[in-house]
Amino acid sequence: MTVDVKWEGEVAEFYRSFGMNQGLGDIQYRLILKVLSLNGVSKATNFSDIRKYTDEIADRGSIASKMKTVIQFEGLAKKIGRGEYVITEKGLLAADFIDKSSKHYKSVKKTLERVERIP
Amino acid sequence: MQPGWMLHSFVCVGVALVSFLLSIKMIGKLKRSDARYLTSVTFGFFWALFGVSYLFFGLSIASEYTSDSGITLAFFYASFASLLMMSAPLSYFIMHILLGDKRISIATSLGFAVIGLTCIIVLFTVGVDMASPDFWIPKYDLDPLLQYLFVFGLYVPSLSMILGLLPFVALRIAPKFTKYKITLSLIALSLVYDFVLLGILGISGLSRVISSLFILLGALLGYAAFFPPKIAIRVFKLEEKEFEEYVGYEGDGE
Repeated sequence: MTVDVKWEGEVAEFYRSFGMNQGLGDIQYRLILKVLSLNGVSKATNFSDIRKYTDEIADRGSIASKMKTVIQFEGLAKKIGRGEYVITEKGLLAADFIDKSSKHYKSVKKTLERVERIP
Repeated sequence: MQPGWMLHSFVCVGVALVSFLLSIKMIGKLKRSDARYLTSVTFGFFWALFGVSYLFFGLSIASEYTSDSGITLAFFYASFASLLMMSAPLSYFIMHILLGDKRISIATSLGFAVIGLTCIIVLFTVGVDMASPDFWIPKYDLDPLLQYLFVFGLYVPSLSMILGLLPFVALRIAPKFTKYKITLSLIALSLVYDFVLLGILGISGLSRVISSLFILLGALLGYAAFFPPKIAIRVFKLEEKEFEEYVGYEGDGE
């Protein structure tokens, strides 16, 4: 499984348009949690694995800062070694919520497109 | 020859007139550059075919009234043939709204056209029998094979597609006018298909005239769905209110 950066950016943009600049509307937050959740609670994720996806949209410093000030600070992931992180149960809940927000966006988008096609 | 036939034929011509009016207005509703143009036109074609069918059906009853059985049968064949083809444009209309994929919509439409053409070939092969005319209608007996083909090849798939539009009615995010359009179209199409089916299955007598009146109601509702009368706009509050933005400070007026 991989993370689609373009799609996550589109979903984040949608929620940002509602004034949700943090969390659901924050592409960095979405990507970090999505990548961490790929390995689950029992396998470490390297910072370089996260950067594979985030390099397209943000520099190393902002991602490191986001990891520290949001992800680690809120207990969504733990740093278990140099450049090594593991997602927590709470982090998995957040990742699950992100997945649901993507599904919600997909369904809203589909519905709005259908409504637009009615003559 | 029965006096009730003429009345029934007037009802059928009424259905045809409403269908033609709706068809013309749907075809001319949008500009060619509009992305919804083809959807609107196919819906117009559906009503045009339905109108042609009912016009010929009305003419077949009227000509039977004047005792010209040769032309009656010709009118009946023309009526039934266009009825068999009407699902093709309708399937494009519904599939395009639901999926938005032109290729799938065209393929579905072609599928219905093939079924329709098969039914027409069967119609001309097995023919139609005139049987036991009553006060209201010169009754036609259709071959059971034709009835099965119509029910399982056209009616059931068409009705399933029509029901695919049902979730729109409950949508919270759709504008009120869109919901109104879909709801009334659903009722109109259901009335049309259901009562046409009853006719094909061979109901006769007063029930047949009543079923034609319900078809007329269906055509009127189809028209009112896309071109709502003023009373419907007022009753269902279809006009969206435009609020102007307040530019003063929050404390103003306190």
